[in-house]
Amino acid sequence: MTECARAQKIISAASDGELHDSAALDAAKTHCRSCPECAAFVRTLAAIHRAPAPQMPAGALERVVDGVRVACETAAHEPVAAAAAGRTQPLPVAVPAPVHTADAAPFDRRRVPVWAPWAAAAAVLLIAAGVATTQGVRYLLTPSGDGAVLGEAGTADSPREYGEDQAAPETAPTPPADDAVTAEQGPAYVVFDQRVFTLTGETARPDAGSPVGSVTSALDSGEAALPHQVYPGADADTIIVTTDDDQALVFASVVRPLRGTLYALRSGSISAFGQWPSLPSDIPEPASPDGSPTFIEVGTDDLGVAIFVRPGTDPAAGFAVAPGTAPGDPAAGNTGWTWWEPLR
Amino acid sequence: MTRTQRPDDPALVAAAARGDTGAFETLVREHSGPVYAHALRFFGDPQSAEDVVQEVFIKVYRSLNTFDGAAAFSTWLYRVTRNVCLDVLRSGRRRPVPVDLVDISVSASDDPAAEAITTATVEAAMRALPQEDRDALSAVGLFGLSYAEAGEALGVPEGTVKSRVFRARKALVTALRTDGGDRR
Repeated sequence: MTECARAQKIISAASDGELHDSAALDAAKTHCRSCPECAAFVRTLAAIHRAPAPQMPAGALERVVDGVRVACETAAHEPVAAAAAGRTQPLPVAVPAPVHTADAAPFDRRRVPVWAPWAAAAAVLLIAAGVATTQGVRYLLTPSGDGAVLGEAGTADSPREYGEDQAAPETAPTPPADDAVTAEQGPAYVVFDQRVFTLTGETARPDAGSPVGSVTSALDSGEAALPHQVYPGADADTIIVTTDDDQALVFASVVRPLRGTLYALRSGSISAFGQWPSLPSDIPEPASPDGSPTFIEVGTDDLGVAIFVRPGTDPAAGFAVAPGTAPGDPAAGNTGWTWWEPLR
Repeated sequence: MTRTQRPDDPALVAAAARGDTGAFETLVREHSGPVYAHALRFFGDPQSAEDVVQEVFIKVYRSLNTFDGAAAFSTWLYRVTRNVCLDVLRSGRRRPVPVDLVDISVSASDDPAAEAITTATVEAAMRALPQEDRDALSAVGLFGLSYAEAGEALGVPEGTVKSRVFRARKALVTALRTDGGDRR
């Protein structure tokens, strides 16, 4: 090794804090002062060090944070898929049913531990399922399998604290667990303003304000579909639907992320729980299994699921997802195409 | 050089693993910079880099319970970042933008240090490096890993990291020098 190469290596290592032989460093410095070639090396190296590393563009970090949050929320469904694949998961713990309190404040959201009814169902089925949270962006996510909802009422490591003072009517419908969703029966969905909302298992208590519309659904009654009044939820992505027996059920928008932005599931009418969404009337049904020529594939969303658009359109305006998505996907189990538009 | 290992990383990771989303968001915010820079150097495309950052932290989130703290968080993060970039490349979802050597050109000067070597110029030269050299330089220069930690993450001896880092720097200096010096 030449003296120049040796000196430059020492300088390089020293710039990383990796050189502990001060005598060697002093010798390298002495050489570099008298050697134009090595002096130029040191100057240029210093200039490179001064050049800042590339920074994320403005807004990118927030998009990433939002995207991570949403994708991790979706990941909360994954234990179901893991159980279906035969992997070992911890068995859920049965919890006592919450007790309804009569002195609830107006529109005071009485958060039910969303994992409680799901866990009970999973226990019966002996399927190790962490519990799914709803799809609303208001939820910050816990590591998959935990199932607790963060950010409003407790922490994931103390899930049993939920039931103590955050009760709900004992008769509130229970959202079906993912493992119970089959090709024959869809989730507990309603359609409001062409957007699909899923039952969260939470209840609210509306007593003030005016309804913003209605949904026509039999819910889980098995009878004819009837209109139910809709009130705004606590967040932009939730609604509250009142029932004939004076319950007020919270539904959350069904969403999927694309480039850090949430897209809501749009559908034609759904007249009862268990019915699958369909393409809205303004979106043509593709005639071929791969969607062509009605749709063309343009990439994947943030979950890695292929997305399709109508020719000449931008996915930012809306996109389709083909049937057959994996368990845990917001459209899993649906035998038809689904259509997603930006969450308003 | 940016040292990304922070004394409170282990506590943040532990809190995030317990479900503290605020702690995890802090990790994302504090460590997204080197992840983005590495991905940008890998793909040469800001959108791809942003997607990688998101995918990396989703993977980190899903694996929090497996992180035993034996290695520094930044070592783990670097390993995940490198693997995500390679996975994305293998899947064909993203392809690196070809390097335009014209981007590396800088104006002549007797003293390269006296002129502004812009980030864009350095980054273009970085992208022209062989991947294994760039990976080693990224581990040390962006993620703040020691040579030993980088060797562990890359699966090579510490001395190999040292050689690759020096080779990368030598190539960068050669590419960016404009004073008529040796360009070997």
